[in-house]
Amino acid sequence: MGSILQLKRDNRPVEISDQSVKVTYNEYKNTFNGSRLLIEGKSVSEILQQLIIFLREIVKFSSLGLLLKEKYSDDYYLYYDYKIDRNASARLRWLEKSGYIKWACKEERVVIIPDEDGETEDQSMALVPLLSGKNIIGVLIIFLQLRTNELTSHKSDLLFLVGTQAASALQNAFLYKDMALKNQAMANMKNFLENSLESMADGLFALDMENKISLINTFASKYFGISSVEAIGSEIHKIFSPEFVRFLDKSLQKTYMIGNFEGQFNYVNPIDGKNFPLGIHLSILKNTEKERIGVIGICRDLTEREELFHLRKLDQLKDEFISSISHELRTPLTSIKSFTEILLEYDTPDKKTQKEFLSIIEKETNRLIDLVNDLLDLSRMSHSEFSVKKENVIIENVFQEAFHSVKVLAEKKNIIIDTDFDPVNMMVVGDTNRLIQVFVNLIGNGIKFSPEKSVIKVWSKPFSGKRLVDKSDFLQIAVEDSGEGIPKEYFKVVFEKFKQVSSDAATKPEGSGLGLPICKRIIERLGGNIWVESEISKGSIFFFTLPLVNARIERQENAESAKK
Amino acid sequence: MANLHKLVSQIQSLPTLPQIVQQVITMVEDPGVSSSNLAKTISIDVSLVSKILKVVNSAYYGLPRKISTLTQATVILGFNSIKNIVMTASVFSAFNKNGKNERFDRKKLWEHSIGCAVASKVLSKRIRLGVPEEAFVAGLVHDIGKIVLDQFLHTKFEQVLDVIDEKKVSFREAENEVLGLNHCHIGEWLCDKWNFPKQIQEAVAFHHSPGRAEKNLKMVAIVHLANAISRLEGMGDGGGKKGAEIDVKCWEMLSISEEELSELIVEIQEEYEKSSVFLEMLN
Repeated sequence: MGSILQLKRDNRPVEISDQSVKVTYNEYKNTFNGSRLLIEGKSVSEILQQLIIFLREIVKFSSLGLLLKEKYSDDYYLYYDYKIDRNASARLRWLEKSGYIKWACKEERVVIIPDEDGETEDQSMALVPLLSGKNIIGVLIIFLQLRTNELTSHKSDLLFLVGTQAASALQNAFLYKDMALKNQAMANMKNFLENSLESMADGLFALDMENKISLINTFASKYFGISSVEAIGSEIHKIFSPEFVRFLDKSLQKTYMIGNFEGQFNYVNPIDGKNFPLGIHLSILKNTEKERIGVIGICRDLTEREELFHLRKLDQLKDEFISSISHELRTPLTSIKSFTEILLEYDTPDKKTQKEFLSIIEKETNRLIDLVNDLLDLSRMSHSEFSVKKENVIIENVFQEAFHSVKVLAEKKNIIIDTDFDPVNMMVVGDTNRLIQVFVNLIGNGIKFSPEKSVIKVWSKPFSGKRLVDKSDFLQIAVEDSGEGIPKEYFKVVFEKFKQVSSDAATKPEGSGLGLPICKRIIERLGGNIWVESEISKGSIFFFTLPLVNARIERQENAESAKK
Repeated sequence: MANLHKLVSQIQSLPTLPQIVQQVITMVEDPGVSSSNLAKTISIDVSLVSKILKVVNSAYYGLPRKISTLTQATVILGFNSIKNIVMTASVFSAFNKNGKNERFDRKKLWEHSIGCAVASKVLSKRIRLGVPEEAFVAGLVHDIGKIVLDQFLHTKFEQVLDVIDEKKVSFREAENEVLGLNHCHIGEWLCDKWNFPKQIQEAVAFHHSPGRAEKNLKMVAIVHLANAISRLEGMGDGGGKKGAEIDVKCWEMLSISEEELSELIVEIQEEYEKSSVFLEMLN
């Protein structure tokens, strides 16, 4: 020891030897560089690798153990070991029991534990506390290959320095690992959500507080006919039609007021121009602090639902039809059956009574025949094969033929049928037989619902519609009665199958209820129109229009000359 | 300082430290010195070895296992702890245990000094300043000037005690009145004589006036606060009749909050209770 430590006589220490200064300088330089590498290590294994290289520069050692402190207790567990054999393992166990680990951590400095029997064998261990900030995160156990005379305080200082650097580096790596795990979990969650959004059969979109689209899935962009790239970040009024924006604005107001909204819009897809019913459901979107951050919308093409709805309605109509037709069929049948039974059972010689009964049976049979004919007619008219002849007919002639059929009925009730046909415009396009059917139906109805000794007027004049072209293109024919009238809400209904205004069976006049629907089919097929105007207790006027022949010819000529 | 030279020139035989202390101080600073070198040097002084082993195995260090050899002690406790023990033992042996004056209890002053030493060490460890062992020694010798006065300039010391009794002033005020200087100056001078590290000298010199220190400010602040803690916690007695004065700036410099302080005081008390082994060395 003499060469290093020489004391002068005046008790002042000598300078520290140049050699020693050089060694120290180099060691600190290495430490500085090594600690930089340590800190740069990203993963725990990288840091441990660097640490071992680094420690080799400072001390000779055979093996190494890294003990980490348990989070919620003062105990330590072996986290990593380097070349720990059976011997080292036994010494490690001894060390754990000895109490030195906790002691070294309490002292917060490097503690060298010499071999049990003391002096200079290469069996000593260095306990390096891993101090990160104020906290001990663990302790490094280094199995030294040094003789005690090779242990200097300076080496301890270097080890301590390495320990603090390694602690910071490890702490960072643990945090990094933790963060990476959390990030992965978040990425998985995000992925899951995105997949869920995309695999939804509904369209989904979100609007922020400035009414900009912040999210849109494939279905929504398909419905809207807008690519998601185009949509995201755009304000709604820049990408949607003004009508749809108005609809959205109103819907958003409602959503903000009551929390959600459900509605339907007839959307026109800008790509293919097709329009379809778009169902939209909006609800408020809130963040974790429960603050409103926008609106989330779900949209769906309602075409199929609408069709289904329509089909259901048809089904319902059919049911109603069957139920009313059964009723209509049964009434005359019941009466035929009853009178037939009476005639069979009671052998009544009274011819007069017999005749009376038989005439009732005949009347009811006729009613059934009429009904079945009407039904057949109507059914035929529902199919596309129903055709009408389009020939030139003189409307008054048609009326005269029809008049023969209803004359008897009118005479029974002393009803006078008064006519006033426009003498100039007589020739219309039509089907004589079908038009007779229309007149018979309309006049028949008039007779049925009019009081006795009243007048039914039948007149015609050129039609003056709202549009100029209609004027004089058509002839308007009216059948005017003075019956009890039809309430306004029934003006359309009466043209539907089996609708008679009075649902009271007692006041309900005889009839299939199919007459007006048949008239409607015929007139519409001929290119005309049929409607009713009425005032309660004053009477009803049934109007229908038919194309005038002259006008038609003129129009055709005009069209042909235009072609040329 | 003229007053100081005049005063210390009256001291006939200066208190000296054993040569071994100087050797240990130098060796610890030398990066090339190993544990066995250090142990070999110390082992020449047999009584010092037994003192060291006694302290090392005391409650103060609280080692989990008994240490039987000096080499083991130097290896396990490290050089600085050994240096601390050597310096403490040597300082104690440089002075008599008891003073000559019944009005001044020297043992109480040593108790106060050990309290200050323990507090200095805890504070130094807390703020991670340098070597806590060095702070311990600085705290231990901060009032050494008073003992020099008592032991070597006793007439003057009597006068100082008279002033304290009459005017109920602090030790320092009385010293200034009688001597034109105080124990801080004397302590600093002695530490210089003993070749103690600079930061110990400065801590001794400015422990009552930390604002005037220019170097080693944190060490000065530590000893200043440790002195106050030792007095406020009733560890021994420094001899003055006035309470401790604390320079608040020292707290700010060490950035210790109030909550931390209460934790630290508990730790200081625990350490102090375990430190009786040092007082035993006085015998």
